[in-house]
Parts: sequence; C-alpha cells; structure tokens
Amino acid sequence: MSEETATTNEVPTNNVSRRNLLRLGAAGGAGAALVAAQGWAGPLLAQKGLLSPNGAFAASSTALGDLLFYIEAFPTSPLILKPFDQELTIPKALAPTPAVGDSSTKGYTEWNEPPGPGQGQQNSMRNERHQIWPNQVGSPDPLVYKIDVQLGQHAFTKSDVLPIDANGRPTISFDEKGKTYPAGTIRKLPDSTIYSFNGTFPGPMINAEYGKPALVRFENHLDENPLNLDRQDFGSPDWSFLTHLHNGHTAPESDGNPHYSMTAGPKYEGYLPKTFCDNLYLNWPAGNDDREKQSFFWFHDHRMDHTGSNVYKGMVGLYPIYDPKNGMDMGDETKGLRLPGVRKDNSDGSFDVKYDIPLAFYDCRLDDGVTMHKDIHDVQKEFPDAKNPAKHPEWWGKTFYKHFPNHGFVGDIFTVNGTASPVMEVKRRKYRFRFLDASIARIYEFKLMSSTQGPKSSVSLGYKGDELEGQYRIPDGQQCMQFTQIASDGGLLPSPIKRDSFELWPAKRREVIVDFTRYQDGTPTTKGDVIYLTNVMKMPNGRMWSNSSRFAPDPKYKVPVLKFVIGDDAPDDSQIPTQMRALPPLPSNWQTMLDNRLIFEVERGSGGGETEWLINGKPFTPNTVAASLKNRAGRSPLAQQKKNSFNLWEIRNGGGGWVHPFHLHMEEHRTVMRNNRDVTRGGDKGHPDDVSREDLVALDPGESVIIYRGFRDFVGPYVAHCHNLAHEDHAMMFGWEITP
Amino acid sequence: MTAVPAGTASGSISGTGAQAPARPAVPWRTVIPLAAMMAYADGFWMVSLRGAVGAIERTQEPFLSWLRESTVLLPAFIVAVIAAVTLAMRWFGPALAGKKAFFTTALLIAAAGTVAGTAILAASEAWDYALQHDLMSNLHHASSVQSVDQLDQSSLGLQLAAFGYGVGLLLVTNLVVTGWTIAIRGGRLDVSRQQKTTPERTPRHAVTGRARAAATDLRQLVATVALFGCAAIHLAVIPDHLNHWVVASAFFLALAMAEVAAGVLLLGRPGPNVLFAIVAASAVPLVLWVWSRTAGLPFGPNPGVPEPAGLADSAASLLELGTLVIAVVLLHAKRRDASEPAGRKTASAHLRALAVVGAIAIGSLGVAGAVPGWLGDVDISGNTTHNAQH
Repeated sequence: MSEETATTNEVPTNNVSRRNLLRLGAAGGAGAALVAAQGWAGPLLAQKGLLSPNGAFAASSTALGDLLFYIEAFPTSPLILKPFDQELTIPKALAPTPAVGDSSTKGYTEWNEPPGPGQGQQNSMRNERHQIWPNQVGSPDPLVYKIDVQLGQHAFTKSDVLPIDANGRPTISFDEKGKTYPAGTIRKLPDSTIYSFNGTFPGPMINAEYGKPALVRFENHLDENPLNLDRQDFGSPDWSFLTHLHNGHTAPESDGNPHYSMTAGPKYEGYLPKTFCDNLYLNWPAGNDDREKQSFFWFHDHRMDHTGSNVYKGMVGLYPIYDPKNGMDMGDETKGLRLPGVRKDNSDGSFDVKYDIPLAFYDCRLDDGVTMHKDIHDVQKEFPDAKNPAKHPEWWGKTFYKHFPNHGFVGDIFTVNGTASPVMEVKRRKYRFRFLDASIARIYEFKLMSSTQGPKSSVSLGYKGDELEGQYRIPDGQQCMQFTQIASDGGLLPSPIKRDSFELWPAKRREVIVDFTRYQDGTPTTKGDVIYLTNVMKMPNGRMWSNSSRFAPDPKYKVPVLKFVIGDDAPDDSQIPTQMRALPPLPSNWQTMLDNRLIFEVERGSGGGETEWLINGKPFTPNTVAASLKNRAGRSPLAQQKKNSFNLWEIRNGGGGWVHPFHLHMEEHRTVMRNNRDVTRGGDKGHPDDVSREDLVALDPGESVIIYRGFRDFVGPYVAHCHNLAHEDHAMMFGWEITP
Repeated sequence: MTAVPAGTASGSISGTGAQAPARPAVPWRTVIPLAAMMAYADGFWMVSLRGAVGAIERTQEPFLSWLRESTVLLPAFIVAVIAAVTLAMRWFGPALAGKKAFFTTALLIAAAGTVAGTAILAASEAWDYALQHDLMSNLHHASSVQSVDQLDQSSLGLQLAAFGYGVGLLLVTNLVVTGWTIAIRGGRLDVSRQQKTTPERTPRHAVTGRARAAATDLRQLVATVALFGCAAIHLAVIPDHLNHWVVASAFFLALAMAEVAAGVLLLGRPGPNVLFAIVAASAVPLVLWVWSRTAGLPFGPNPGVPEPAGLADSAASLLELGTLVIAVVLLHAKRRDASEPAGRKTASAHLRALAVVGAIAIGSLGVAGAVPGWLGDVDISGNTTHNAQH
C-alpha cells in the first residue's frame, strides 16, 4: 500500500490547496536560498578560490572558527601622519673581515677559534666540520664575514602618529611608564626591540659572487642587554638562533635547519648565547652547472618553533649574488647581460652596485596597549615575565606578535627595508629591483601606479577594521608602468617577462627592471613625477587573500607601499636582454617518473586547534625522515634521496581555506605539473613564472603541484616547510635527507 | 498537515471481523526523507566543525567525507525517526489527530534526529580528541609534561565547546529540515500506514499466521541481517590484514562465507543443527575477539600482545553477540514449542523495523570503520618515519 492509503484521513477540499501552498512555500524557500547562495556566497567563495564543494566546507569551517571558537584580537596600529616622507633605506654591502686585523679590529686568523676546514672548526661546540671546503670544488678560501646576533632597537617611522582604534577613531595611548594620553594626542613611536644581525633591521647585506665562497660567523650575543631593553613576549625565549641562507646550495651544517640542528651540531633547537657557528656558503651552483646559478638570497632565522617570531623581531639579512663569469651578471651594466647596475669596488673588500636595489617587504602591527596578549606560547608559559594573558600598555607603539591559529598573522603597517611608507628618489633611467617578501604570511601583488590626488588615509576614506590595513590608499591610482621580470627565486629567467603586476609570496624573490624614463604608453617621465609601488592584494588575515587580480580584484584596494619620485637624468648603459639564463633541461622521460613520485600534503592540523599544521597528517618530528603518501605505484617511500639523484615530488594543499608558500631547502626546483596539467611550457596564467626555477611552491587553495628537483653535492638532513612562518613554527615541516 | 480525528481512519486497526484488521506499518515514505535530510544536514555541520577544531586529517576531502559519512550514518537516523514515530503512534494512535499531535510528532522526530546526531557528534569529537592527544604526545613542542597537559586541556576544552555548539546547531538544523521536509510533502506527516491483508486467508488465520510469522521473522530476520552485517565487516577487513597476516585474511574470508550461508539458511525453517552452527559461528569469533583485545592471541604476528579495539571489530562483535543470543533463544523456543505449543506476542512492524534497521546501522558503521580513512583509522599511508642517524 502506498502512503496515499495511509492511516491518515485526507479531506480533499481545502487540503489540496493547503498542500500545494506548503509545497510551493518549501520549494520557493529552497529556491530563494539557492539564489541567495549563488548571488552572495558564490562570489564570496570564488574570490578566494573556494568555489568548489571542498571549498564550501573550508569556508564553513573557517566561519565557525571565527564565530564560535577563536577570539583573536589584533591591535590597530597608530596612523602614520606623514607617510612617504622618510627616505628608503638602501643597505650598504657588509665588508669581509680581513685575515689580519689592525689596531681596532681583529683579523679572523687572530680569533680565538678561527674558521677553517678542520674537525671541530664549524661551530663553538667543536663537534662538526665543513662537509666541503672550497678547495674541493676548485674555489679559493672563503671571504670571512662576522655577524653578531644581538639585541637592538628599530624605528619603523619617525613620523608623528595618531593612535586610532579599529573604527579609525582617535583613541588613548600610553607610554612605557604607564602614563595614559587622551584620545587625539599626536605621538611619536617608541623604538621596538629587535633581535638583529649586527644591530639593524634589516640586517647587513652581503654582496656575494659565484666563485668566491663566503663564510659567515654568526655569534650569539642575545644574552647581552646593556640598555636593559624590554624583550616583550615573542622571539625565541631561550635567545637561541639558527640562520638559514634562503636558498643557498649549502651543506646541512651551514644550512640552518632544525632537522640538522636537533640531530647534530648544537643538538638543540638553535645556537644558544655565547655560541657561534660558521655557515659556509660555497657560492657554487648545484652540480657545478651554470644554469643552476641564482641571483638573490636572503638569510633569516630558522630556530625551531620560533622562526616566525625571530624573523618578525628582526633577524633578516640580504644576500644578492652576482655571476662574474664572462661578466654575465656582475653588477656592471656595461658587461655581460648589461642588466642595470653600476658597480663600485670598495677598499674594504666589499662592493656596492648602484641602481640595483633590494626591497624587503615586511608588515607589522604595533601594540595599542589595550589588546589582550594570549596565544599558545603563553599557555606554555614561555614568557613568564609578561604574565599573559594580559594587556601591555607599556608596550604601546612597539611591535606586537601573536600566534593566531585561526586567523594567522598579518600586519597593518607595510614597511620596505624597515621603513613604513618610504620614499625613494630615482634617476630617469632603468633600475633593477630585487623584491623579497620577508613577512610572516602576507602575500603582496604589486603594480606601478600614478595618482594625481596622492595617498589618502584609509580612515579619511571611511574604512574600518581590516580595511585599514596598509593605512593609506590612492583612490585615483592608475597603472602607469609595467615591470620587466628578469629573475625569480632560482635566478635569472630564460627570457624577461613583461608584467602588469606580480605576486610576491612569503620568502619569494622576484627581480624586475623598471624603466623610469617613460610610462607604459610611451610618454616620457619628467622630473618630479611620482609613481607609487602599490599593493593590490587585499589579505585581511594570515589565511589567504580576499581580493587579488587573479580572484575578484577589488578596484578600491590600492595601497601605496613605496613612493618613487623621478629625479634627474642619469647615464644608463643597461639594456633589457632578450635571452638570459637557460633552464637546466628536464629529462625527456620525466613523465615516467610520475608513478613513483613522493607526495606531501600540507593541511591544517588539530593539536587543540592551537598548535598544529601538518604534513601527511604528521607534525614535524625533528629526528625523523618523513614518508610520502602512497603514490600511484602503491608505495610510500621515505623522503630519502641518493646523492646526485633527481626526482619528482608532489606538494598538495590539503585545503581548509588556507594558502601555503611551501619551501624546499637546498636546491631549486622546476614546476612540471600544476593541478595535473603539464606546465613545462607555461600556460598557467596564474603562475606565469612556473617556467623558472624556484624554491617555494605557491599553493593556492586545493592546488597540487609536481616539481622536478635534484639532490646534488651534499649529504645529510634538510627540511621542507611552509613559509607562512606561523605554520612552520607550529609543525608544518618535515625532515628529508640525502644519502651517500 | 494531515490531522484527522482519532478512530476515523479508514484502515483502523480496531476494524470489525468483517474486514481484515489492518496492522500499522512503518511509513517509509515519511521516515526515509526525514532521516536522509537530517543525516546529510547534520553531517555538514559535523564535517565543518571538524574542519574548525577537529582532527582535520580525518577529512582530507571534506565534501567526499560528508557524502560518505552521512550515507554511512543514514541508518542511525532512520532508527531515530522510526523510534520517534513509534512513540508518537503510541501516544496519539496510528493517525495523527489535531495540531498538538502533529506538532508534537514533528518535534519528536527533530529531537530524535538530534539525539542520533548528538551521539554521533560525541563519538566523532571523542575520536578527534583521541587523535589530537596522540599527536600532542609526540609533539616536539611539548618539552615538558606540563605543556602536554596544557595542550591536552586546551584541546579538550575546544572539543567540548565544539560539542556544545554542535548540539545547538544540530537541533536548530533538524527543526528546520524536519519542517521543510514535511512542508515539501504537502504537510504530510504519517506515523504509520496500513499493511495489505491477504485475501485468501480468513481473517483469524491471517492474523494468527502473520503474528506467528512476524514473531519468528523478527528474530530470524534480525539474526540474518546481523549475520550479513558481520560477513560484510569481515570481508571489509580482509585487504587490511593481507598486508601483515594472510592467515587472518583467510580466516575472515571463511568466516564471512559461513555467516552468509548461515544467514541464508536462517531465512528458511532452520533446524537445531543450523541453529547450533550459528551459535558456533557467532561464539568462536566473539571469544577470539575478546581474547585478542584482552590478553592477546598466543599466535600471529604479535603473539600475546593485545590489539586495540576499533569500530569495525566492536561492531562485528556486537552483531555476533546479538546473533548468538537470538540463536540460543530460537533453540530454546524450539524445545518449548515441541513440549508446550503456545502463542506468543507479536512485535509491531515499527519495532521490527527498529530492530532490523538497528542491526543494519551497526553493520554499516562496522563496514565504514573497516575502511581506512572512513570512520576508523585515519588514512595516512605516509605515516611511518624512521630515526635518522646523522
């Protein structure tokens, strides 16, 4: 019997219309919900790249987390009242230490423990030696540099500031003695305490050259605090450090990675105060293959569990590397590829290159004195003096950093080379800019724009909350120039790429040439013209963007980060080459290696929702080598590679509404497949420089990327990890090794 | 809405002898849509909550997880809805009369779905917490016992909060989807439907024969379903055991075959020999399971080492226990029937459905628990690491 003959009676008169009414109502309600979902939620998901069944769940989980579980309060930094008033700092090259000193400085041969190739000479524990000394690869003895890891102070701006709240309204402020200033009081910022390389942020720049090895002695003086600076509540609590040259072709003992440091050398998360290590950078390409030469490294802290806080606290240094072979890229625009740059060799052994400018981007937040400090490190009582959870009015105006598992961490003040909203006067000629994203998590997308009205504060434009990030906008900004990209992480590209904009993910490097003589429409520039380097990627939190050119651009989000003022003409012997550095060839049979590839999936983890991001479902365990997920051959191989071998590795984004900049130490890789599509000849519009060598895989939500890479010259333990540094510090890292 | 005065139903069970009394049957067209709607809607929140605070490694692809888990858990929601309509039928009779009966029944259904969802959510959160606890125990961050405890507490607090919010979400969701499902059915909410009578039989014989058949059928049917469920679980665990102990795989294959054969024989008129065989087919694996989970089997790859209990083996054991009890009862009944034939109470269609679907639900959970990455172990094939020597 069907239910039409159910035990219930049906009165056929009014019930028919009532039944239909109910059905219509229910169907209409469902239809309306669907239309609303398509009209509202659809675009919202699409702009984040989450318009997929899995993406909908990720968005739902994120919304639940925001709404119910995680109260993660960011302070709103004071408004800088005179932006683009302070000159961009352009670091000078660090001079090497002479072998024999003079009356003021000791030469490195006169140090108590001089560097050298012998057993026990690599660190102050005297338990390690350099795996390859330069003479083993036909190079001369290294230039020796000395960098002290030490406390310091840094001002992100000298401008007056107006303390504001999240709604942009003037608010109270404080000083370190506990005095409260009424809302509307114009203030100067106190200096922030930094953990630094040689006392500055960013730290020193080493201009290196292929064929000239460099040995850097990093010596820990973080225990010394003659100015009695307040260390606040972030940075490695035991003041240890571990320095990684990103991404030098370097032996494990000089690589600064915790898989090594926990199993050898210091056998600890990092090097403690009163210890040192000598990192030897051979400046020698992988496999001695010129096609593997790179052009821009940076060195930063890699101390296990506190990389993010140490980097944020200032442990960043720059390391452009030139290639003098045949004068190809030696910083002299009259030779080789004739890339912009006028080299000046200094008497102290260093050299500087004019018109070749490194730009390190870093976003920060300054304490407002009323935001609660609490994260998992406080739960673990790593900073007992701070007595967190607590508010810290005495830290008003100083850098604020917390690990927020749900939102991640981004700043609302954008700095370049340590200065917020700087200005740079440029000559009417071509420049080479070396972009580096030294931020914890922020991804930038840069355009060159002109604006007749100039920057307006976001507050004055009526923005609030997350929309205040960046502090200023150029509402009438229009793109006026293009970039000519010449290099990515892995060095010079095979040929330049003209770009309207480019994304810069954490730790990534992009080098571009900008011709300041004319606009993109051919009109010549004139002295006094202003061009803004502008960020157009809106990233309200550390998860991912909300708007970018690739996903639902927000035409109103145009945040100037660096102001260029066109100056006088200057001689320009540089050229934009048509061909640069050829890629190392892929084996013709690389696709036959797909079945046996190693697979690593990065995903949001679960340790109390507070502590973990995982790879293949596991947190980083420093003394182990991870294993692949099961590959198509049905195997789960360990991440062990024979020395001088090559392989395909796949990195997958396991979802959860996050993007991941995934970094692999030691050698550059080449992307061969993205989302199961062969991209060896390009073709992915979102990632045009897939056809280059890189050391960082930019993983959009749900993406899978297969890379081809080598494991040459050295043996031992390395790591691969997410370079969203809050993820790295909370276990999104795995150990791998090269075996003899 | 279908609300009629009590006693006016065309197929009332209080009919006269002139017409075969209609037995109220389970209104599947009401039960299944309501259960499905609640299963998939509640499943959405459970997977989303897991993404927010749970062991996300259980959900590599949330959409697929949601589809799979909701489908696996559908029988549990069917049990809940049948329980609700059974209770409503007891309270209000086979036909709902009046708004109070109608709305109370609708609320009962939503509440029953919420109870089922809550139980599943609790189990899911507990599993999440167990995984998180394991993770945290191995954490390099946790350099002291104190910090492990703190992380544990933090994790537990978050799971409890998620459970609390989750129950609220499930309740609201179930109220909405119950209302919507009833509305899209034109306001129809049935707690029973009429069964067809068999015209060839006289009413009295029909009733007696059906009652006897029903009583027998229920026990035999439940045991048969349980045997088939056990067989399915044992077949599902074979691939996993193939990797490390082929003998166990062979045992499970033989056991599954025996359970299928026993189930088929049970559907007929089983004699004492068949029932004794079923007792053996249930008791032997049950004893082995208890042994392996307590003292550890004295043979196999890890002799003397107790195995941890899992969802699949627990479900199979529960079904085996049920089969064992039923087989013993049937044996006892056969002896009693032989000595003193007597009538016995007949179970209603609703109770029969509850028992049978309940057994299916357990079997479904067990099978899902046997497949890595479904409801049991987390599917992380790359979870082995080795100590690096440097």
